[in-house]
Amino acid sequence: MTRTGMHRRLRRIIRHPAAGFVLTSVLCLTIKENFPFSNFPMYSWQKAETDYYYLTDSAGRPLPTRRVTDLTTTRIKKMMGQELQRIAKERRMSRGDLPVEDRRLAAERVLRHIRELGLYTRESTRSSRTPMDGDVGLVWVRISLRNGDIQKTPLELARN
Amino acid sequence: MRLLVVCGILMWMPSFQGRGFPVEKSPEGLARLLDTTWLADNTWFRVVLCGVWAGVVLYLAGGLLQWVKRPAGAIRDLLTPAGLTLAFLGISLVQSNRNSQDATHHGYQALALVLLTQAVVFWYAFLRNRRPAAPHLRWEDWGIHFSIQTLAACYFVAGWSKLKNSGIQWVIDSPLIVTHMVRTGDEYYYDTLDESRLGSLDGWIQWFLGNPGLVRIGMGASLVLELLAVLALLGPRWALLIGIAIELLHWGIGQTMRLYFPVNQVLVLAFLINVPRWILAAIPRRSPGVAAAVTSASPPG
Repeated sequence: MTRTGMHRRLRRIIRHPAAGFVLTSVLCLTIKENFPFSNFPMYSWQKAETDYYYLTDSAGRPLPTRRVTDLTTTRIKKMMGQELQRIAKERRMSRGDLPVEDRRLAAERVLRHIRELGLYTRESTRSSRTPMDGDVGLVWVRISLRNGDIQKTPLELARN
Repeated sequence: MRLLVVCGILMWMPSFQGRGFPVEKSPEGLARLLDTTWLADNTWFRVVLCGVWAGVVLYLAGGLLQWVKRPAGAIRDLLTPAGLTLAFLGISLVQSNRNSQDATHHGYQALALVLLTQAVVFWYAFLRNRRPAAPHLRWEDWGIHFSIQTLAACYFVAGWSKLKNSGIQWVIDSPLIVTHMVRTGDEYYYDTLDESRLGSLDGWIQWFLGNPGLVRIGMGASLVLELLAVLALLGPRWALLIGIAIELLHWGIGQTMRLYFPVNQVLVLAFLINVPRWILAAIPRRSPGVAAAVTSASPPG
């Protein structure tokens, strides 16, 4: 094919009414999670069990996650998910089969990561931040749906 | 139209009140190509903020000067692509840094993709230095046309991922979404410890537990809507219909799960519902140029 012919064919493809739609879809599905692309996998599984995590202060009282870390509670769950995935890969197991000890290990790593990112007192404002002294804990809350009832089981996994 | 896009950018701005992070646990996006940990320095963070602001100003100026015949020339045509590129890069830098903490946030991909799409169109226009092949349409129209496609693709991909990961079982098991509702409701509280947020979803959770059939119908419809977002390309009326349905979907998700996507909603308002188009359609037409500026969803050319 001559260069002019290829150019014409390329122009015809670009002018197709759905060219941008197809290109964006293919890029998002192949590149996956790489900003600005994403395959938007959130909530693509429905399970009778899920969980979340929250931070506690040295007395075991909950901390307002966003204020003290600039991270949302949802992000901490995602961080735990990635850490558990790494451990599962090391152990050659599935993430769901990991024992609680491995969850504790993941929680310790996540707390260390949060410390690296910066942890501030709950009184901190955006203009004036005071680093938090003392230890913080990471609590894991399991949620399950059994016989139409929601059950929540909290467990402190790590303290740093 | 540009004002609505700028609204989307401005709604992203509150995330600037946060900060950059000094480590990249698992680099994502631009962080794979270059180090973004310098964003932890507040001064540099503000520099990036100023870059996005500058991009917004250039983008708006480029739009305003379209109506001015003189001064014409390369500098005027450069404003729009340069503004879009600055805004895209600024947003991508910050989001890449944040998403590189082992946690991906999905609130701004659509905005960044639309900015990227429009930047590509306007750079193409600038570099080719000529009018579009269809004489009645402007590059602005092409920008809108491809933005509609990009936005529709974002929703299609979300639906496709659900089918790929769970198949039709996603609809059958959809009443199990209550576990996620409990989770997101509690996370909503633990973010701030604001007492008014505690148990704010309890009513919805009970309703979902008591009406699994209706939940399947509703969730099934939302999946079909995501997969059929491509219909928005059929014309302005289809885009309006799909746009309103997506707005309702976002509203419902916000009410029942406390998950909000305000930037996506503004983009849907701008490109699918296309508010400027319907407003101008209601006003007696004076100039064909005005009508072209708020082009329909039908493909140009």
